[in-house]
Amino acid sequence: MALITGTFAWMAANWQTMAELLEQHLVMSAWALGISLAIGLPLAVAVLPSARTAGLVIALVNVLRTFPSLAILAFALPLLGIGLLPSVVALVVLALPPILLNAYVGLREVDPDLVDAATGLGMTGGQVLRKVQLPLAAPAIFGGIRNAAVQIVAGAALASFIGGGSLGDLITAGIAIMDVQRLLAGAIPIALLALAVEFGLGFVERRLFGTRLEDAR
Amino acid sequence: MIRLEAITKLYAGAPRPAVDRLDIEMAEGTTTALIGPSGCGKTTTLRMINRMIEPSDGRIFIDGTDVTGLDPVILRRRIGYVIQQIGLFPHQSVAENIATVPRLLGWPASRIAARVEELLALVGLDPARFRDAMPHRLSGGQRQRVGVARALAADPPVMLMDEPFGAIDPIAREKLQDEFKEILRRVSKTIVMVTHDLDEAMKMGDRVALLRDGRLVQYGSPDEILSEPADAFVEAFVGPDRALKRLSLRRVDDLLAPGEVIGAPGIASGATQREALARLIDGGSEVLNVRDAEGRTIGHVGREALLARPETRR
Repeated sequence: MALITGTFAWMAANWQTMAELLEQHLVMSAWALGISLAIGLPLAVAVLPSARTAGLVIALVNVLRTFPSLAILAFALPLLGIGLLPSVVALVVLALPPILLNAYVGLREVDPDLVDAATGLGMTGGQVLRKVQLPLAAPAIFGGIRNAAVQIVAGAALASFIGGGSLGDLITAGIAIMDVQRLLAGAIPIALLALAVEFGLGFVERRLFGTRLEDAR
Repeated sequence: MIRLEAITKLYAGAPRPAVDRLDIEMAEGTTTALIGPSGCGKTTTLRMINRMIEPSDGRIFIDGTDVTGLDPVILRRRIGYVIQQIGLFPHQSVAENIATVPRLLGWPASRIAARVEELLALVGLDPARFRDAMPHRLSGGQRQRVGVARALAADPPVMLMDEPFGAIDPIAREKLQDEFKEILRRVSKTIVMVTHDLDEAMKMGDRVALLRDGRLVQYGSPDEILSEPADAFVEAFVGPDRALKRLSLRRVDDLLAPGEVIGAPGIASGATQREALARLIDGGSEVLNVRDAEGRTIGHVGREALLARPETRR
């Protein structure tokens, strides 16, 4: 109990540091998610016509994912130095597989008869994608985004190892100087953040697609 | 009018062309049924008309224009397209589905809304009830009505229908065929319909094109195909009961003799001669009185007349 109150006391006393680290944490996560989307969604569309290319690209991205995040950070360090950039790169590697895989599967599962009908009615390839394939794949795509966002927010803690700066700084410092209050002041907000993203986006998902999922049943 | 000139489709690695130098001309405002055993090239032929499949060789003319050189997207917006799987967009309401092509063509919203109402009424769906319904709430028959309304939306001169009744359960199918026939008669389009069901081809088609191995075996009115099969293949394809099938194409009214025969059973005006024959066998009688919608007898039809070999209609 004393530990908890102590932790909160520490957080209150160092609220400026806390706010700064939280901001860094969120900015880094936003960049990582944005870049992952910018790569993952066009890539899913690009590999859609060829099952073979798709298999290859997905296998490649999945191999990247099997590396522990810490190892990726270690690789990024000599290549990209320290700071925000290598941390974001490592997080993108983490977030790309769920985004790419969900988007690809979602797009591929769209009934080919609908694509045939849309094409036969005179839609261009781009119109078929915008008006039929993407709207129908949206729930799957969103699921991938939610998954990726949770992993990014949790994974961003590791960025402190290469000077990326995040709430993880409190954890590494707390371990280094055996300051449990400081450690918890980092760990608790990160855990809460991950939960908030998971449930927040889950709520948005149900609001956006809930009725459609029920209707389809 | 649609004219195919030596149209050919050869797939890489295939031993023979899927469609082999096919020549066929479909008159304006008529329905042509393409029929034949599976693999005969009927669907390939249909899909080459709107360039969903690119022909390897040959030319296609629609109203005198060679469409093999047109932008396929522009071409398809001028051709109605109905498929067996119906393919309604599940995330769009009935009205949005029907509005697909008008929207692509950039019609103003008010014109689209008016057209949707008109089409729903045409295909027999109450606009107030169905306009905002989602496709999954509809029965198979209702879905295909919407599919046809969607194909007709921009009033294309030509309609392609690939097994349009294939996804409809057999009980609803016959009724839908009757209704579509009436709808298609009212809109007077040049229609090409693929089917594997001979009875459907005979019922829906003004002309029937029988294909085999990518070639046209016989092209004529349903009655011609049934009464004068071009060769042994056609004869086998139409079946040994083709004389009975011909009776299905004819109405009792064609054989009407004046006067009522007291005590004879009745049959409705407009019934097929096949139905009349069945009624005779069933009732063990020689004559049927033909009655109009009000139940008045307008004449009678006798066994002799029903059994006489009719002249071929072209």
